[in-house]
Amino acid sequence: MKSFFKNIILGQFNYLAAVALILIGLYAVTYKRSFLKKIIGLTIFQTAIILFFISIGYKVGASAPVIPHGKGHEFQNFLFQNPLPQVLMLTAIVVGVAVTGLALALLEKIYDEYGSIEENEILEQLRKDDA
Amino acid sequence: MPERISILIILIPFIGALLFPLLKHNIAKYLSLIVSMLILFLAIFIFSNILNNNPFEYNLGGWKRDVGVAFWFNKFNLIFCIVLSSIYLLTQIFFIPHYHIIYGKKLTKFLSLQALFFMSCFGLILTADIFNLYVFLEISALSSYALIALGKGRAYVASLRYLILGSVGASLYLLGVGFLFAKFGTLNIFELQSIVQNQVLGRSTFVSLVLIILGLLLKMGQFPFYIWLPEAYEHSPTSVSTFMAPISTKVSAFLLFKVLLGVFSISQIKNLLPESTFFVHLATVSIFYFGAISIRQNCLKKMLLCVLLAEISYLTGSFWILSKSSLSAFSFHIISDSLMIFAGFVCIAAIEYLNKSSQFKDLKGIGRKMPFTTMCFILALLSLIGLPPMCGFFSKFYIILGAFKEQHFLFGASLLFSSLMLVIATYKLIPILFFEDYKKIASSRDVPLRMKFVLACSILSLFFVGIFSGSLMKLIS
Repeated sequence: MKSFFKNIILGQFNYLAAVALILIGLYAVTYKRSFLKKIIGLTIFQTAIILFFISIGYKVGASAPVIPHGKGHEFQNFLFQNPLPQVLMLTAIVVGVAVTGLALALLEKIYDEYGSIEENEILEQLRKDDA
Repeated sequence: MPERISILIILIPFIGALLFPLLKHNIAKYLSLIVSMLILFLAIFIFSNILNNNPFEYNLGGWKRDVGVAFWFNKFNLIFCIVLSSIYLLTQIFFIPHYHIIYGKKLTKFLSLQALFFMSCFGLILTADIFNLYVFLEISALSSYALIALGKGRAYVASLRYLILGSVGASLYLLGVGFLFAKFGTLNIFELQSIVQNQVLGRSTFVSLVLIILGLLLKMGQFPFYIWLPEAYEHSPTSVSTFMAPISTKVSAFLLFKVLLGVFSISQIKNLLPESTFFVHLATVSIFYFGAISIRQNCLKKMLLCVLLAEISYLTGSFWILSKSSLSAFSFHIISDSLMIFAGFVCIAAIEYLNKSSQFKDLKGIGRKMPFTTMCFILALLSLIGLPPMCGFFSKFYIILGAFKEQHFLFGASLLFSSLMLVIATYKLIPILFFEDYKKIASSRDVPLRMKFVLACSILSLFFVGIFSGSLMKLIS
């Protein structure tokens, strides 16, 4: 039991957190009525993936992937963080910001047009327009 | 030489997208025409070079494929690029003189987004790096959300719903890429392939496969996830849906092919996903469903969108049969379907140019008013039904052949059923178009000559691809 706690809960805490956040995000995207909450859920979902990627590249006790030089900065050990996932996630963060920005801009336009950000109210209005 | 300049296919529209917002409207308009021409020439040039030589790889910045980003140029990629760039050029010729009427002050922004959209589509087709592919996927998605939202009013809602589903799809894909990267430590498709080749694949690979498939099916608009597609393309401006509807779904379908079969072999996928025929059944159901509802529509655009949704399921179905013959049918159908749907949408755009609406009740007798356009539309429908000299027949024929070889009789039957339904829809449409008295149509002119030229080109391309289908199939497989 103790080893289970140590290995699974503590050892893989990042991954468990990422999965929990992914599920929270997916829940918000699918079940919440308000578009704003959906967008928040989407952001949580994307952030969880960033956490997942960073966890892949993380090593305990490793230093930043920079070649050290100068006095007092000699090699302590030869362990480096894997820089690739971090670089990838820089791109993913930028993409996420762009998506959120566009979504909020669209939401503002929708609010101007329909006076509401609740999905079911808007759909009802659309149905009335059709009839 | 062709190796050196090959990257310009992506760079030219990208530079264009950055330049257009800074220029005056008239200059930007004609510059975008030149950009689309340049890409078409470039794609044809590289293709003609490859035809007799080996496919080649372009390493961005000179970094080798295990460190940098690589682009892969082979015959099928370039045929697809040629199709996309000719669609780009034809839409430009079709719409350029009245772009400013549609968009007003937003014209240069529209041109910029359009160039960005095509840039990312070329990137998606050519890149050989699965993370770079995610970035291009998001660029194409972002530009298409913005393009759809140009339709105002309802298009905002459609665009936001598309954004939410599309971002979830892309994020699922990214998560799948993360699993692949954690397991195999590389992002290049060829590197992955060489690592994966001699391995027994475990549960984490299965998870990554499922996530990537789910993400891409969401992007494609395959049956249970299709809700965003009809409303997005119906409410976007006609000049947007004309080029976006034929391209974006087909590009995502091609990604499915590229990522899965680029990394894994057919037998590995079959081992990992023993229930892969589930997708074939899903496609069968959706073809029956969309075939049945396509005859109940009362608007040309909606009818064509139903056909488009059914065609996407043809692609999914023939992909998941996972045999050599059905996969080459899949590739052929990507090409022919882009051209057919484009022809259909261009005809609707020409009709809407004079008539403002494509509801059946407003179309009475329009065939006598604009005979050329209506004939082109009927021809496009006939090609979708599968009339022999045109490409629709051959792509359907190859798909059914591939399905029957692997004992998927119901899937083959569903294709015939959807053809039958389209025949009924066309049969209902012809009396409306030709035999009823026409009501008011605002102007007495027919469509301008350049529109007729575009219509003729798009219909001739159907015949061209149909007649040369044999040699095209040889190139693809």
